[in-house]
Amino acid sequence: MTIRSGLSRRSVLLALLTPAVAACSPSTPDDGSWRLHARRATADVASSVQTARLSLEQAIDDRIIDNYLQTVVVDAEASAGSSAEKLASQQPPREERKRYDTVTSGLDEATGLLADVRIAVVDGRTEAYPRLVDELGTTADDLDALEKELLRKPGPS
Amino acid sequence: MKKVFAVALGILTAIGGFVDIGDLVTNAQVGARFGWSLSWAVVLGVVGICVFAEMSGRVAAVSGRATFDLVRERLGPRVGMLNLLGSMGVTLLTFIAEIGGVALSLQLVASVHHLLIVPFVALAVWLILWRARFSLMENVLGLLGLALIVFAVALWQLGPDWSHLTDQMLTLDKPADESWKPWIYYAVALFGAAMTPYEVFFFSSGGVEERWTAKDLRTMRFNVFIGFPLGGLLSLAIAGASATVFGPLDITVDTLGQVGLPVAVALGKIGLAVAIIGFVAATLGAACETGLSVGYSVAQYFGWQWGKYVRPDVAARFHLTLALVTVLATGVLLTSVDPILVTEMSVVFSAAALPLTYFPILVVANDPDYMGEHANGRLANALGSVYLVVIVVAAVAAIPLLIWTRMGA
Repeated sequence: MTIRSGLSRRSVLLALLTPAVAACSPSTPDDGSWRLHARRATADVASSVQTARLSLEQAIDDRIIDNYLQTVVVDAEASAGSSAEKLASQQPPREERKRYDTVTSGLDEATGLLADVRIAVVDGRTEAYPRLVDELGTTADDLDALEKELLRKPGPS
Repeated sequence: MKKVFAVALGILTAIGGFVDIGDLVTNAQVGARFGWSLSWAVVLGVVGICVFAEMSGRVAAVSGRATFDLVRERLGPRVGMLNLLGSMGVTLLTFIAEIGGVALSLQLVASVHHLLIVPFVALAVWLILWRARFSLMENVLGLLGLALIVFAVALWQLGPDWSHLTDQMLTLDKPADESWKPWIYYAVALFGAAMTPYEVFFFSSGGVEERWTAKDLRTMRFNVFIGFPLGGLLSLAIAGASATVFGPLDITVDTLGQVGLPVAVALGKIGLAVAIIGFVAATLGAACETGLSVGYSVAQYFGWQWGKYVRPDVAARFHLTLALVTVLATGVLLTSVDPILVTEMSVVFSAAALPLTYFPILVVANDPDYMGEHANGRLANALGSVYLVVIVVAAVAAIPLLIWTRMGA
């Protein structure tokens, strides 16, 4: 097929360039879709936190093999980190900026705690496990509250 | 006595060989999110695989030829090629997932990253495919796979709320905090995991490898109708244990390490060690079965000499195919693709490819020219036809659901 008119050429060029240009700038989801992504990320990180907590509880009771524990907590940290990073890289809608900060700092805290857990497990510092279990429990509760809060539309609290 | 032993061995290996990486991961994921509310999909899949495995086993025993050996002859090269591409593509994807699954299982005890283990697993799989006797491979790995019964023991030990689980099982409804979209998506995934095409490839070709005749039909039926349903119960036990431990904590299952945690909670280190043996045996057994199935399907379509009952130099192209697909699988895994993601994709694509596998089986098993007096009876035809409708619905829905739900998110 030959493109004859200049208009057609421009249309084709525009059609080709628009997606390319759009791909270069971060997309901004609408607030409803951002909240959904934020809720999912929070739930994923909370799941990793609970997995690490459950594993450490088994370690305290001597019910889990050391290498198995190590693999589970490393995976939990990697999974939480990936979920947190994915959300952080999304451009938040203007009306959700405040909650964006709250959510991303909450997720960062949780992934930081999971890194502490991994370090303790790899070092074999079993005496730190009970404290870490408590901290993981508190973090899981915080994330749960955050996830519930994200059901609400932005506005005065 | 020898006959009874053969039947018992066949049933046990069928149970142990039923569960693979797809069943392990999908059942644990589903159990954690939906409890036993999707048990009907497992039951539907198990009955379906029994119907078609019996047909393909019967074809192998009566004609002495594997089902797909006959597909090209009966349905022509075009349909044969379509069948080959669809079913083999999915089986190859499953093969990659299984090798990744063995590496992930070994990572749980070695604490070494699975990418470093993958090449050794691939080498071991290739050596087994090349050197090990068929019966040895099937029986040893199938019997070791029985270690997964530890999930049933763990479920019992966990003392779940049986009335709640049973209620979920008997009521066609989703949990209140879930939506219908992922519930339907996982129903299709579970159905695909239970009816994975390689199971019939392997079953019918294995029948030829073991030189079944019409006299073996009874033994074959015992294996199928007792072994597979008991394997299905193992799937339900994995889902039940996952529901009991992970459900109350809102944990979603993304890794193989999580799949074994309920066993550690219930039975401690010894139980966990048994579960890991089960993981390794189930995934290694399935890796061998899927690898062989790819080789079987290619060789049978092109009319090459195939099988482990002939010397490798006689079936050189078959063995070369096995070596090439093993290298390909290793290469794909070394790109650092997540084996669990490959597994999730493989069960959904399995569902999408089901008609390409099962329609030709129904046609061949129903053909008196090949089957004589052993052609499908009314019951087999009725069940086969009903299942074909279910299979087509699942196949049509699989890919759109995958996209629509973003893989069940």
